[in-house]
Amino acid sequence: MAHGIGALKGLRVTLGVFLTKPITIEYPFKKVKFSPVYRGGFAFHPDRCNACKSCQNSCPNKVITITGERGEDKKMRLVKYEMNLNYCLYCGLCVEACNKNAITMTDQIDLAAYDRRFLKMELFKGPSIGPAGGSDAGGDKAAKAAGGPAKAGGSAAEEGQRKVSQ
Amino acid sequence: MKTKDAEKKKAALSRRFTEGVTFELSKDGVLEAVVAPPQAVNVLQTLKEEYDYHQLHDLTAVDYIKDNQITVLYRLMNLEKPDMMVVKAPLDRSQPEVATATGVYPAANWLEREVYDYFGVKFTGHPNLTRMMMWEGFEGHPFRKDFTAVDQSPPNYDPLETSYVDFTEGPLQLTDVSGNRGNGNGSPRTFILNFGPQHPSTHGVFRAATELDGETIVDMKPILGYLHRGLEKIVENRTWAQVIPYTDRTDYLGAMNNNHVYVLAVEKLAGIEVPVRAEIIRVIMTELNRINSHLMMVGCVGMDCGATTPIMYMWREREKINDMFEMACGGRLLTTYFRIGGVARDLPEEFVPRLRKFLKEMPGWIDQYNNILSGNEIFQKRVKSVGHLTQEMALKYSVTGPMLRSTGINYDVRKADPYSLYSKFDFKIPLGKNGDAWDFYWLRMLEIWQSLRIIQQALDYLEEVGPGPVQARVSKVLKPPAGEAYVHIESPKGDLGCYLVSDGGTNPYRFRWRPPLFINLQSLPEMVRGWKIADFIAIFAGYDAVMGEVDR
Amino acid sequence: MLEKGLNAYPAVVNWLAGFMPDWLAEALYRVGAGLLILIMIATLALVLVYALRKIMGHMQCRLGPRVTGPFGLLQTAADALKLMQKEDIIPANVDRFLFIIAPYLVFFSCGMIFMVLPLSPTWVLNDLDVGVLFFVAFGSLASFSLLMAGFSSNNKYALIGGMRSVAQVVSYEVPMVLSLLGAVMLAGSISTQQIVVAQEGLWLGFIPRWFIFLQPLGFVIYFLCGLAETGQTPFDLPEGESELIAGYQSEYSGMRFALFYLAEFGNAFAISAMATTLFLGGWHGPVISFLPWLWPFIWFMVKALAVTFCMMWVRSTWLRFRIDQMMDFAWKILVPLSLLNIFISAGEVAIIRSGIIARWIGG
Repeated sequence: MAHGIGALKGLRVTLGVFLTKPITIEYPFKKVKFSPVYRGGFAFHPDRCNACKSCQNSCPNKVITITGERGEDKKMRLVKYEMNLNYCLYCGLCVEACNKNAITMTDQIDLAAYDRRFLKMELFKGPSIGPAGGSDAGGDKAAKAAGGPAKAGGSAAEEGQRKVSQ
Repeated sequence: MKTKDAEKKKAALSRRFTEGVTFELSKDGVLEAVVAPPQAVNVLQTLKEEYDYHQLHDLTAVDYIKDNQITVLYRLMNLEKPDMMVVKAPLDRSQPEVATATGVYPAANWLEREVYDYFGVKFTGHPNLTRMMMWEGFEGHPFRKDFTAVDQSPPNYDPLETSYVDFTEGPLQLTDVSGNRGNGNGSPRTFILNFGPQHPSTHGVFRAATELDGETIVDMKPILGYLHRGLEKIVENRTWAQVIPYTDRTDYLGAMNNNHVYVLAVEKLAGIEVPVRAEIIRVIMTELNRINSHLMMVGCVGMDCGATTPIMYMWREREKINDMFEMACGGRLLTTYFRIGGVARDLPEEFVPRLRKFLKEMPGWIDQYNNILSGNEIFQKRVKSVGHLTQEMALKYSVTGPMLRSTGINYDVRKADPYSLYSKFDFKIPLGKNGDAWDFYWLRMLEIWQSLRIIQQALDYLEEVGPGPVQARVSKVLKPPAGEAYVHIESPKGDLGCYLVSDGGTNPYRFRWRPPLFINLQSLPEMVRGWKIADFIAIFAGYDAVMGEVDR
Repeated sequence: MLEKGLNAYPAVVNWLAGFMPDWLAEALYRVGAGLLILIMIATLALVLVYALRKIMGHMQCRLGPRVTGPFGLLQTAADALKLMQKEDIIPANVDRFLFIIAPYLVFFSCGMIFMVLPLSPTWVLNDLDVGVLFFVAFGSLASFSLLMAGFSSNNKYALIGGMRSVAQVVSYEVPMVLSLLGAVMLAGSISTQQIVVAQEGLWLGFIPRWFIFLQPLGFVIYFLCGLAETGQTPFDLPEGESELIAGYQSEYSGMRFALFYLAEFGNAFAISAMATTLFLGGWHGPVISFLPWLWPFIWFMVKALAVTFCMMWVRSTWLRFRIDQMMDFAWKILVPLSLLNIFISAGEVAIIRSGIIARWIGG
């Protein structure tokens, strides 16, 4: 206790920090740029997927369910790609397992949803589409997916908000 | 050399114990004794008294359903040598019973309760053989291989009733506080205060039922299990590679260290050689993670003593470390970076310059912490000579990690049993003297410096080695040969061990996590008895408790 | 020296009595003064909460409130609105009467202190002859109501918080009063307005004749005791959140909680204002011809807020004492020092009275 010099030094430190610029980023208004390998929400590219089920087998929590069918040319084709993000650990093992880069992770971080139901989603559904990206894809999800990658997390949040607002 | 000693010891021990005990050497030179259950305690007693195995490192069990056996496994440690020894007591599966080891090693208390909870092994003579993690009334013992999970929910207690239910050991009777501690006129002198499960400074869902006399703590009972997720059971149903994300989630402040011990154990089991570049990256990452975890602890000590600002400065540096983790592996807290046979991916280009910049800046920041927190007289008064962990107590309760070193016992796994590349680096193990809250705090501060040194050397080594593969060739469906492996490392919290049993399949047959904090926490009641409430907070902060690891 | 002209009470009442009965004028003045204090504390708390969050934020390399209103200025208003809307929960097993009355009593004792604060030469609600004593008395009344809150909550954390708070206030009252004595002795009065008046003028033409220059030790002791009295770090034991969750206010919610909060900040300001009055020359300061009646008030507020800033600064830097160390600090360090301070001030009074200084420096 004796002197109190240390306590005064502490006051100097806080005053020094007080006068310098804060380091906070005002989150919803400004966003940090994540590294390219950031493990956020998923993006699925159905045109690259050949339904090999590597991702399904590598997942520790059985998040991914793939339904494939063998086409006339004996090649596996994707019919349905479901993810149940309730159980997802975001460990990235599925992304690592995929040889075709069909499933990737994005820097999406707003993955919350209002209801667990919205976290269970079909990223792709329809009769098979060719590698070129067929136009015969059914379902609104698939139509979205044909234009670009379907984003798992983002659509969950959007869908959740939409349902709640109704 | 080490094996030679073990051979000698084996010969000596074989002469000492003639009946019912067989000795053998495992592949990595660890002496193993298989003991007939009735003799187990005697053997432990002799080993402790005559052969200096003064610490019960771990106590667990494995259910070998094919042999109709549950093997209780005592892992003993001589910290001075250091030297490890395993005592196995195979029990009959239909009626597993063995005498308790709490008389020999008090640290066995919770560990035996845990084994009782998981396997249903009855430890005769145990002071309080109740379930550790599951609730009383849970049907079955989940770690038995023939356990089938049915939907069981905890019984509905009357909330007022539960807070007075006496379900832990020790002299504290929650049902009857007044008893003989009255002050003469019949009114109770002490009262019970429940710290937690939700309390700002229990760092998670930890409950300490505390008997108070005014502000002074008369007695305390730690009550655990609020964050129990059955992690060890879950991973028995996962493939070897799929376990890694789960290890992150035990001690979530030291995810890299957890990954490290697990992958080392699997590599030992399967005999996988790791490329040197990957191993250096692992060392860099684990040391960064150690800094990360220690910063959190140091800040928390400050915050629990009432200083809200220092932890914010420490978070600032933690953010930098987290950014670097994110660069390398995409995760900030739960990194899942290490893989069996290497690491997930090579370091990105900008990582090394950024780390070098961090190393350059960090001493300045540590000065700032010292100016604002360590140097503050109020802080010193709050933590100096508060709590007293003696060497005897530390050994009695198998305390490891910085807490053990604060008593002056020089035991750090990085030096004592060097794993990975630690024998290549030059660093010191800071030691304390008094075993008080200040030592707990200050040792972490000093360890940050040592970690910075190690990272510096590792970076130089990394540049010397140059680019190369970071992942050994490991088959996609890994099937390690049947057998078992134990690896322990120095995690930020203490001596973290991983015991794996393989039956040659794609899943671990038994996965045992030796949680340093769970074992350290047993010493808490004795540490805080007689201190004030505020001291309990300061001492408990010194444990650096992460409930994710305690409860698993 | 100015005599009774410094007191608003007789002036206003006399003026009011010109066109209404005496009793009505008296009553009107009291009600008006009460409302004024209420408004003042509410506004001050709004400002101070915002300031605390901003200052603490910046000291912790954060930003503090930014979103609600320009620069987050409306944040505290929004918080207050939220607290008002909240359900008023009275737990089942509390001592209802004490539980309900405690926050009002805390607020009341805080408000009474504002009555004797000389905000400017003419703005003091009632310039009591025993102003300083009045301040001390109502300062310690707060601890009484904190114990009421802690006891009636029927919560062990709250009870320990209440007990700590009483132990703390009772111990720190002693060195505080003793350190006030220095200023009182120098001024020769315990009326707050008179003490301010006694600090008029300059030494050597540039050093203001504030008592802090004669009583540096007294000021430091007073400041520390003030921190203890208001329960600020390093004396925030009654509500130390890492030990006692929220201490005596654990069970309070909604508006009652807001009252504690208001009183905490009101008290912090009152302590600073009293420090200004006693040691920093009160409303003295350079007066510009533009709005001459407003400047003393501005000077007073600037000084008081500067002291409050120091409180916040300390709050975001230091940490909490342990209960026995806190008591040790009061009885073993502050009390002897404040006794010493009395001797020093006695010497100073003797020297000043003898006129030596006056001859030397022409004061």
